Amino acid sequence: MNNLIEKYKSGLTSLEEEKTLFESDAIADESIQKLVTFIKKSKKQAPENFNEKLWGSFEEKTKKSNKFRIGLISVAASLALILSIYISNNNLNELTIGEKEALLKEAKSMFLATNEEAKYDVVVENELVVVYTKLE
Amino acid sequence: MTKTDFKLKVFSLSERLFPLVARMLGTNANAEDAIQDIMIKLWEQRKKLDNHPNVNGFVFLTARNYCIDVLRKKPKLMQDSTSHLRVLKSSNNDINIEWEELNTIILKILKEIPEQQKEVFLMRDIDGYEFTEIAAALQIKIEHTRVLLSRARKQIGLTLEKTYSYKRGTYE
Repeated sequence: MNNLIEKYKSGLTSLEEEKTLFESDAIADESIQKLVTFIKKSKKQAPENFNEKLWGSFEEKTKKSNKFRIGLISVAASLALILSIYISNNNLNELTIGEKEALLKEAKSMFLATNEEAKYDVVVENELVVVYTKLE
Repeated sequence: MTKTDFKLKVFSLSERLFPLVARMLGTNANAEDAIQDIMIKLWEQRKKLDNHPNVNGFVFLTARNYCIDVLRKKPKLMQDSTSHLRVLKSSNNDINIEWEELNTIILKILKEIPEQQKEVFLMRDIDGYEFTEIAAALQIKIEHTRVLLSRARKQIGLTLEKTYSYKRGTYE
């Protein structure tokens, strides 16, 4: 026992040896015996089934954060979807140069066909065809 | 790290964290909430734990830092006024005078020894942690941990001896 106390004082005992020392009733060294009393009384024990009890609420909380993450992902996904639909619709509305040319010709021909006497002036502004006409 | 792995390797340490957290925060009731918070912090950092060489050490380090943070936010006066009552309260209801006296003496000795020595002593003898765990939590070398522990134990033993032999009138 004295050997164990010396080892203890030098910081060389294992946790197991310390357990033996703390549980021993045969400590001759009074100061160590007092210290052991203090140690034993100050030790704090986790409540019974602590891990299991805590795990329940932990799972609950970490699930919530998963739900939150799923929510975030779905918001991002729907945004992306809306954006892509918007872009593709935009593309649909735009005409190719060939189509524009055909439309312009059609517009011009309409005026040529109905108002032969008329003086006309066709102004093409991007996708807008403006025709100024004047009857003489 | 999967949830099952986490439960096995990290969450299972909750019970062992209890003494440290309850001691540092001073109440058993707060300890439960605190450990819950610590575990959530660890869960968020689970990637770091995958190949960590000392998972226990990392867990104890996180727990200690968490408690220090909590205490820093708390008014200092509160801590000091309860630190003495703290240990008394945890003992049985039949407070005997002898124990009260011993408790006061040792708490006084602990106040007087260097902070790091005190902490190593408390983590080893009160909380029951391995050297690798204490060293990681305090971010010091294992050998240094042993040295600090030995100094603390010797100093406490010596002061106790002096105090009690003085009481008996045999102190020279």
